[in-house]
Amino acid sequence: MELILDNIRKCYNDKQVLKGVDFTFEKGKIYGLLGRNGAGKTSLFNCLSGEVRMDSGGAFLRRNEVSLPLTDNEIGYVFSLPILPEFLTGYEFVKFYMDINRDKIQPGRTAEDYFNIISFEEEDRHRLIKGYSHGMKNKIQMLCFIITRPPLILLDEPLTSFDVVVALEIKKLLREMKQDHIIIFSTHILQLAADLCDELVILNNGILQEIPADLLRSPEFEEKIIALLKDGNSHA
Amino acid sequence: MLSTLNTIMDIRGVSGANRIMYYFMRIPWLGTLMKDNVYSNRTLKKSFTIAALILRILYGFLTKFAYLGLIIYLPVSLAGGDLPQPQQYNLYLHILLLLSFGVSAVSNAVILEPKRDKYICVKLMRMPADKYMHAVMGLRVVSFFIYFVPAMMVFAGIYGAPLWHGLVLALLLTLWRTAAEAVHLRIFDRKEIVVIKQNMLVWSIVGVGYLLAFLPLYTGGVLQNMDEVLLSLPAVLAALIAGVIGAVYLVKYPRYRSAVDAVTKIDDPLLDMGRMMKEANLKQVETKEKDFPAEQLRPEQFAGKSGYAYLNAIFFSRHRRFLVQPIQRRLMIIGVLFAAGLLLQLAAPELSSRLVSYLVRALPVFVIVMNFTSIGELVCKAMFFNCDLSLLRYGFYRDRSAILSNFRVRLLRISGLNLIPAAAICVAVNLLIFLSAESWSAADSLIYSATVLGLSLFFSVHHLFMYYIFQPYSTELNVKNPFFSIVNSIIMGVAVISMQFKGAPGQFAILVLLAAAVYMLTALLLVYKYSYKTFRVK
Repeated sequence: MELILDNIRKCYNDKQVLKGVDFTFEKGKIYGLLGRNGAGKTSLFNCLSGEVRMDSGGAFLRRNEVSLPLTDNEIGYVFSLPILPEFLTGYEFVKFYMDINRDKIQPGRTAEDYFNIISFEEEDRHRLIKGYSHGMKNKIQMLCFIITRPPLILLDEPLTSFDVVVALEIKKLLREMKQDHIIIFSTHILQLAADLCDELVILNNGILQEIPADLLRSPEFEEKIIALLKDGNSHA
Repeated sequence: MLSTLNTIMDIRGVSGANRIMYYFMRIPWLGTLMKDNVYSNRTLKKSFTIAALILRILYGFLTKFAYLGLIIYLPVSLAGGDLPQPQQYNLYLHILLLLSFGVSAVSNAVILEPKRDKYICVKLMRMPADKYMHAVMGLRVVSFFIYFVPAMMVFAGIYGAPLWHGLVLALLLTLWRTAAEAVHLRIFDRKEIVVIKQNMLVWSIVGVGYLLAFLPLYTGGVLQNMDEVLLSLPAVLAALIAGVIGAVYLVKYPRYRSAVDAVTKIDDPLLDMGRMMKEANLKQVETKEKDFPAEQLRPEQFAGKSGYAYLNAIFFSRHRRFLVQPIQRRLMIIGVLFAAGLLLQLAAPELSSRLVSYLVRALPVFVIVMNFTSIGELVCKAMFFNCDLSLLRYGFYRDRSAILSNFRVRLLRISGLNLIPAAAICVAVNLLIFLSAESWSAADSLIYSATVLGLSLFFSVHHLFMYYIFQPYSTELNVKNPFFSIVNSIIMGVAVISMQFKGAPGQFAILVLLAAAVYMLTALLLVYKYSYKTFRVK
């Protein structure tokens, strides 16, 4: 399975944020999406998830030589600012989510099972989401894609809000899940990207470029990346 | 001082120009003519700065005319238009004295006013506080006088008084208010009290002041020859001395920095009207955590339901505040009116029979009544802010079938709730008419009830339809989509026009029911066809 981005363009008013993004992502890998502030990482994610319409171009999923346009329900999107209905308890949200996606869940699993996967405290499950911390909300968002297991998982700056213990758990979880998914992970923390991701892509000047795999392990990794990010920067 | 003034005017001018451009770009269609880069277009910005300045000056003159005209002249001529002119002039001066010299001196002082301008110049741009305050107060005093002169003279002229009355009154008022500013500053300096923030005090003075000002319009007891008293030499001298002392105090005052600091705290909601409005708006529909004890959050609560029915069951149960209370309030009003009607039939049969015969013919009025009786708008607001705003970020929630099944559940809920007061109205009206001497057949009763219930259904659909098709709210809950207001006004316009209907109730009922049926069908069809495109967070 592959995700093919074909010449995606997006501009806000006069500002061209995405200037023809072309890339092919493969199943079984975690991709780190690097870019400076305002480079368009979130815009790209929003375009993919259908949150905003792209001006031109498209995104396709190719399975066994058949490419079909990417649809809303093939994407799990974890927002950098977790957005959840605050009048529900965590448990109620997960139950509702499971009801809606009944056809996609693994048979026999209950809401409790899922909470256990992300080690969510028993007493917190029945509190209003309104009172949850940032990290707890993020965990619930993670649960959404654990439940429905969509082929494409987008994570916008997700691990920054977790404490070290939870971050490690989530990292493990992502590594376990990657076999069946395409995971794209946006961040500007280089260490995290180098540590967790199999491939790095840079969004700079409105286009995506791949970082050679050997660079990821090389000692000059940091300098090279920074040079790349500065290079030809539009707002430098 | 002039260079400080220049800088302040520059900052105000540029932010005024930016604001004009910002709002211009938000006008539908027309706004696209202006691109983002206009903010850096120097010449255009210069012209906008001048335009903003001219607008501000015009506004300055206009507000004085509006103040004297609407607040003082209009009430005087409404209540005492048949009095001889000198007496009207006395009333006019009496009100002016109490409001402008009295109330406003307490409530409208600017020296300790929390202002964004003050925050930007002194706190952010590090302008010396005394220089800033001298410049601003100087400008304030001069412009206050200049803006008031023409309006004062025009109204003096209207009352047949000599024009110099207006000029001297403007001067007196300026001097007096300068002295008042100094007193505010003095009180702050001595007691650390910002008078304009003492809401109880200010509003009491406003209340008493307005009462005393307008009382003579009804009692007629106003001092004769107000003009001779106000414009007498002692009065003018007193104002002059007070004004000069005040001005000197304002110029010499050494601790402006603390006077500015006291009112430019970043968390002062008065500094940021936008934020204040936002918070007030959100508070209206917010879910409060403490509203729900733990047992209400147990999972067994809604065990029988699933999917959107489950979601909505929880939503409606946790937002009872917006649903049950308004319905209860409406039922109470209907009950009270019904009881009053019954009492009237016993106590004053003649008056009551006149009222009932009006009620029999009043069916068209129920178009408006039912609009106010149906809940919907607040519920839609609560749905948007507490539920849809977050869930619409998820692909599955934007799915067409999801939107439709959600719409169905909500429509049933809202219609059901609205039918409760509608049914109560039907019972109350029918009983009142039935118990009176009017002839009231079963057919009449049926027509009446069908219309009321039909209207209730109509407005239930209307609110939800508007919400799903125009999705008017932004994240800050102010209505954003112009079509929303347009369609809403059209509906209200039709409602008002239909009140003029003079035919038989039967014809009216058929018309209303037909129109409502057509509207509801169209609305449902539109929601069915387009809501998956229009129902988004914008």
